[in-house]
Amino acid sequence: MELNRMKKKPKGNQWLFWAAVAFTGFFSVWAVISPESLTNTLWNWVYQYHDNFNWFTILMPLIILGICGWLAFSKYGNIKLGAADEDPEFSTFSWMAMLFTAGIGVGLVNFGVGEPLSHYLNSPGGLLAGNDPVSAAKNAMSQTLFIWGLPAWSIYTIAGLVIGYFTYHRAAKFLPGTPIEEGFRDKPWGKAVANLTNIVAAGAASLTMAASIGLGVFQVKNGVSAVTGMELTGMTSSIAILLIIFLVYTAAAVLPVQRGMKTLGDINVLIAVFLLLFVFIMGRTDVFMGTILSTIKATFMDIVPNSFENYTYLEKTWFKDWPNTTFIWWVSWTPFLGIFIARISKGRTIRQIVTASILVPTIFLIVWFSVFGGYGLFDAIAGSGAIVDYVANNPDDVYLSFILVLQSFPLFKLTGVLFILLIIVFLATSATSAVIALSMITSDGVEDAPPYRTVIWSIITTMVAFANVVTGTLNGVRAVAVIIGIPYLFLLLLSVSGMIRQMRKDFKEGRV
Amino acid sequence: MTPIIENIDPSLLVEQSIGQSVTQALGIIFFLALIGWITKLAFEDIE
Repeated sequence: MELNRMKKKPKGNQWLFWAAVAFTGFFSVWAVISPESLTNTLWNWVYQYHDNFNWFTILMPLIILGICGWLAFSKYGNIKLGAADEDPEFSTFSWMAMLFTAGIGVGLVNFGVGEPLSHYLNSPGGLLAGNDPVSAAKNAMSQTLFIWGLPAWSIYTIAGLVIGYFTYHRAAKFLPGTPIEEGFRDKPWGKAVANLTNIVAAGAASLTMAASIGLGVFQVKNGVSAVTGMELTGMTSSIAILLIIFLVYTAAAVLPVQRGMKTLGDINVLIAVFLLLFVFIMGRTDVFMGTILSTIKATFMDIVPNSFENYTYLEKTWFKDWPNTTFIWWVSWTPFLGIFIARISKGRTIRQIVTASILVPTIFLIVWFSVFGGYGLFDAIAGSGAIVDYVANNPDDVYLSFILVLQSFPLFKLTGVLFILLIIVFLATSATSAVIALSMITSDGVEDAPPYRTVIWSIITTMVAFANVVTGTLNGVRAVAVIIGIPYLFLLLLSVSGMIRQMRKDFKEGRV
Repeated sequence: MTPIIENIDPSLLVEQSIGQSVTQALGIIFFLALIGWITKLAFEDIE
């Protein structure tokens, strides 16, 4: 009996593993062979979805936030993920650091300055739509935190809860499809939809990560050029950077989660906080404090009006490119992030998870964007305007505006090196959580997947990133990640539905 | 007719055919039905 079970298990794993590899491979081969056709076709589909359903995409995070709030403050809030007497596996600081760095990752650096400035210029409340600079700046912060704050973290949190509830409370597998398989076990379609969810999830995790790694390679190159003054051209430097990042995240992924991820998460938060304090103290602290105050108001007060605004009658390029695409992009991250959040949240109650994982990162992001984005806005309104000019002239390359802020202060040799380190460690943290999740998904959901599976996924993801770096097809891979996010949004909502029915049943039968 | 605001959505100035309207409406009805079905499932007991 035991032997039969052991014989059968790898077969199941291999089927899922190869289906996921084929799914990922199909899109990456398309990206390399015909990047233009991939990019145009998929972005066209994404835009068609936005044209017809932007009213839902913009409202969806608020609905999810409402569900999170209901779960946390209803009778279900006291349910603990794990046994009733189980203590949390990680300290609150390390738990928050891991949640935060895996969830936002390198985006914090990519968009810390560029995104507020982009909204300052291009959003319907921005400068180019004829608004005055001060109201355009306030609107920019409101839109930035609408995209990065409560909505993003509600999506991540619910993704973690649905998996965590079933794995720790019902002893189910660590798989993205688990909530559907278990929650709809009485439906004939439950198992099939769950399998589909697992395959799509593995593809989404691998491709989203590959796009991020590819982008990170360009950033590290540009960072090194800015710090050292050396022009890094050609593929050798890109490959060397990719190899370094690969080694860091593969090592972190094969070490036990407690050691690898915890160390990376802690280092990351310390570097980020140091840079934040440096700019906060060296810059116009009075302006930063004012921006923080008004951004707190915007984050919590504007979420409802922003969720009900789809700019009917107005030209919607900005609306589709920023809030709509980014919300779907957050959904694309949930397959692996959900597993990861569930994995590290053992021993915490639903109320603790919801309140901490939504509020703490949002508050940190308010401060982060108010300082870095706030400096960019201050420079645009009362300074040289060099940073906003850069963003206006390089709309597809806004990432480097972060370096321009650091260059505005003394000790750039030090902060520049920390900037490069931050990108590498951020990328490594996200990539680590992605490959851990991928190996879990393709190892039948076991909590500690075999290290060789983790290494294989590390190599596959790096190969896709490598192909994209060599062919310059990042936009195509991003398009794949966004297009996968659209159906995955419905699979996520179905998972939430499955969790609610299971919770109702468990509560009725006195099991929670 | 001249648009009264400068940055109006250009797609609004192109006349939509009956076919396009119906397809769009069916898409939105299907979408709403899907959301409604997912919600209904959440409050249905597991058999």
